[in-house]
Amino acid sequence: MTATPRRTQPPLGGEEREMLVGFLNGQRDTLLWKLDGLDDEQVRRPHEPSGLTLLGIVKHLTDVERSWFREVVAGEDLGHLWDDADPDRYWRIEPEDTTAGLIADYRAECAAADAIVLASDLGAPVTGPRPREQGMTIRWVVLHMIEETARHYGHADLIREAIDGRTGE
Amino acid sequence: MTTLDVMKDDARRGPAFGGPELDMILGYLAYERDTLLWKLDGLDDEQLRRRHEPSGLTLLGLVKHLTDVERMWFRGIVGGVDIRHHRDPADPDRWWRIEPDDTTDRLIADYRTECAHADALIRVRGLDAGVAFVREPREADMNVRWVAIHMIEETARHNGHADLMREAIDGATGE
Repeated sequence: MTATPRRTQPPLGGEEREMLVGFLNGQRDTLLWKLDGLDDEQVRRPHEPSGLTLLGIVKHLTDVERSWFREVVAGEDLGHLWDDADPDRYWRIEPEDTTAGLIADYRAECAAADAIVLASDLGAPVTGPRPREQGMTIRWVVLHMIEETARHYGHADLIREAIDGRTGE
Repeated sequence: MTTLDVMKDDARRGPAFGGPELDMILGYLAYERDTLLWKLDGLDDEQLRRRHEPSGLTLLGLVKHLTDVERMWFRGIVGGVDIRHHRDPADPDRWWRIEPDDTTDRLIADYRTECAHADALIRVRGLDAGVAFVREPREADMNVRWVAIHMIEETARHNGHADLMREAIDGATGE
């Protein structure tokens, strides 16, 4: 599979919002680049002892993007996507999940997130905060998404190395 | 055997939910750096130096490497201080390798010192300022904002490495 041949580079200068969105897209591209060239078995192979899989990271981050941007920032009601009794739902790869389908879902959710951010004032409060998120600004969410994605592809670095030895920034 | 007590009871600092861009970026930087040290907490000298295969990374090596990275980006590139004597092109692993005379406490103190230099430079120069040392023409437009956000992402990525390394050492996990 070829996930992403070229990774986004954020502009080196300029104002805040364009740079943040550029960094975020660089993070997302780097995550998908870590899957590049692997087969369906390899992207589903559990990394022990955690049991993390590369494709599970993509599925999890799809949920995280959706939750932060559509639910918390934009205030959409997405309660039907959640099941409190099944916290691993978006880490687990189901038999009917295809690699291409999960990557397309991730890309679609990231595009929705970008559209929300690019239409927003970063200093504005989020529209749909949960009780512990009162006073949260959109700026906080975007920077959090950058660090969360970077941390997960840090996981992906070591998982990929264990699969076929490939490393790289 | 003594164990490290560097971030007891998870005393990590974090960014406020709102406020100016500068404070939030400094808050996220503090959070990433504290998270790295929190990942080391409670381990002994051998565990901090244990190699994670196949990469050979060590938790203490991550701290030493990030000390060099903070110095290079902030004092070197943002501040324009000549840091060439810290580097040896013939020895690219210098800042990953733990030497016999490196103590855990010393390496953590060095990291904290370098991070304090970085924060001071970010505050003094401001996010919109250009960098003092332009390495190549394509970096002519680089500003402090880019360097600071890059440092957040680079530290977070290494924290992801530390997550799996720590789990392999003693099973401890956590965000």
